[in-house]
Amino acid sequence: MISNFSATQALKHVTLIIGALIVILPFYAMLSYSMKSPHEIETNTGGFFGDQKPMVDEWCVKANNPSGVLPSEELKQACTKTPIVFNYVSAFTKAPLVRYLLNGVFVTLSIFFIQVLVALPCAYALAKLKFWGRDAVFMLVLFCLLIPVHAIALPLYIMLSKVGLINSYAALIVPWTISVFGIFLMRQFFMTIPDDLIDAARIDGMSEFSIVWKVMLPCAIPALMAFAIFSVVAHWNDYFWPRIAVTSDRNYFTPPLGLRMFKGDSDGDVYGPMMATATIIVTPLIVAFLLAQRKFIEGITLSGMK
Amino acid sequence: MASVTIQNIDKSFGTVKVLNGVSIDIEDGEFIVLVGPSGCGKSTLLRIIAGLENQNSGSIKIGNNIVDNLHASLRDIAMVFQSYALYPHLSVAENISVPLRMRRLNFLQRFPIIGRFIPGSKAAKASIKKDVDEVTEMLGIEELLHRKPGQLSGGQRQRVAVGRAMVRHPQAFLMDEPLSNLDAERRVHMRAEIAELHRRLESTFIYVTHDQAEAMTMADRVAVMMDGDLLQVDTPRNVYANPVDIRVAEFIGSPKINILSAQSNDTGDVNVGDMVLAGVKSAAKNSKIQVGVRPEAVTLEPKNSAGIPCHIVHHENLGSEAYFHVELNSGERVISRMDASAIDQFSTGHDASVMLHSNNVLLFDNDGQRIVTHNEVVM
Ligand SMILES: Nc1ncnc2c1ncn2[C@@H]1O[C@H](COP(=O)(O)OP(=O)(O)OP(=O)(O)O)[C@@H](O)[C@H]1O
Ligand SMILES: [Mg+2]
Repeated sequence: MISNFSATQALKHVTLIIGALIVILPFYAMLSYSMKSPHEIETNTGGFFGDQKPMVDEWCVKANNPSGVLPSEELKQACTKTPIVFNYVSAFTKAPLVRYLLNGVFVTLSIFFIQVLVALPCAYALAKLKFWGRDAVFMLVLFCLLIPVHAIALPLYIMLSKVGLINSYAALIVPWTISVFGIFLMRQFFMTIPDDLIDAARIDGMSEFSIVWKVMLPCAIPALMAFAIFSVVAHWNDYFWPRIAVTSDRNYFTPPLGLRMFKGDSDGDVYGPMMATATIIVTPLIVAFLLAQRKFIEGITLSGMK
Repeated sequence: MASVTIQNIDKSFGTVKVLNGVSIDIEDGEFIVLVGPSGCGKSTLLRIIAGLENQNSGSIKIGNNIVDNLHASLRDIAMVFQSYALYPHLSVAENISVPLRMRRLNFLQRFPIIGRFIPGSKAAKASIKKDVDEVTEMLGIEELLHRKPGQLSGGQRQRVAVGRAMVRHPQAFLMDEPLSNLDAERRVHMRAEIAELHRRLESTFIYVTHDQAEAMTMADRVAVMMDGDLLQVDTPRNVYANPVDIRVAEFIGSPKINILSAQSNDTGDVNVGDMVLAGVKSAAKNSKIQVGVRPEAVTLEPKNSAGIPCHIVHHENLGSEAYFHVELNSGERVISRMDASAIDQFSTGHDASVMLHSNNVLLFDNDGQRIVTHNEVVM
């Protein structure tokens, strides 16, 4: 028998497996905690799924026993659930998670939609039109790529509060509508589209805007997919900006802000429902990624970052 | 269908001058070929005619209208690009219908779903479909209608590009090296097909190529350009037999014309080396001149007969004819084109004599301008 064991190959695989474990571990913990009882989490017992022994829901008991005296056995009985049900039901009931999820969808999609609306014509102009100062404008785009959002968060907050937009969807959406990264990415992709195609479209009678939406956009779908994933993931998961822009009105909370509802209550930290919430928040992204996986990878390699 | 008048077009890119006062009058229905070496400004001229580029000065007239300030889409011309420039996301039928959709449907009617409910769109779409069908049938691409450009061969793409140009019956067709992406065999075939299309449409064709064979075989008139200058506009026959400039003579014809340095004396007789060209009188007397002789006007004779002594360096047999590369004593190279049977008599490594047929020699002065010759009949 020929042995095709190779030490270097084995080493590579071991390294990769360790890397994969490090990446997966937090997700493993999240998923596992979302199914365990508080006691199991504290004592770190119960394996991955927990024992799923029915437990008493303290919140339920408290809510139905306003007097605060020793709760009756009946009440305790009524408030007994398995931990997994407790965690996931609390995730939706303790906080209006559905509303937060819908907020997240609305904000994320609005941001992406407006970003595309702005970035595509900009990228087209920077890639294919000749005008005075084009290179200077492109340099500005590159320069803006270097500015970290955290650096301008405070001025942005002040500006928005001056015009009275804090605690609104506008506060969550407007600051992100111009994506220099999107402009840059699409411009690089448009550079690879032959000029003849644009000239042909002009002779066929298309206006410059028609060219952007009817010729460049369909050609750039792979790059657009890549940008969509970057944008949607970034804004769906963003905790920093919503935390600043939405100071009091919980109606505008996005899903990551929902996690706060389980943090630092008088009851202490309740990890089970919190992790259940986290699981619910990341699931749409993972599903979308799996569905779009092929396109995503195509897009990234096509845009080539060259 | 219209004439196209190009008046004194100048064009520079930055400091680089690309076109120097080019003027051509193209008649209605004419097939004119712009030919010249790579980088001489052919595409630039075509793009100026199309309205894709602005000239620095001069003007373009299509029919009776000066179109200098008209957008490309309003000039009523169609263009076929070297890369075909088909919309990659649209099917063949959709590609061909784009120019009509942009013209016959209004903004709302072009909308994907809403468009259907806008009055008049049904009739307009039916008329578009009819015209597209007519064109695809004419080009023999009916079976390809639902394919995307990525699923077509080069020749098929070329036809689709021509179809997209034809479908709106433009005043003139501009074509920029439409055959250069095809293999040699296909190219010869498409050459005939485009010439036939021209006869059928009776429209004005302006065709750019750097391939002189295409120019000679397809054109009513050939416009030879070099370094931004228009050197000569004439019938293929005249461009070949009567070039006005040595650069034209050198560019047209394969193998290339032979150029020999010569001297004219005060009676106008021309000496090439020791030999006097019989019966040729140059109008430029007493000067250094250049003699151009086409390879077919050069024949080899046995060694030591009349003519210029030479050594055969190389010969190529093309089956029906043969090319002989010979070196004169002066070191100049000459190519002779003879019947293949001459190989029996002459072959590489041997000495021979070169005869120049004085009826067919062309004289140029040292700046490359043509010199008037008086050919006398020699007995
Ligand atoms: N947009 C441009 N900017 C600067 N220079 C240009 C531009 N377009 C063309 N040129 C220059 O103008 C000259 C003529 O170009 P053009 O494309 O007209 O040549 P051509 O005759 O079509 O050559 P080919 O047979 O290779 O297509 C070239 O030297 C080219 O480098
Ligand atoms: Mg060209």
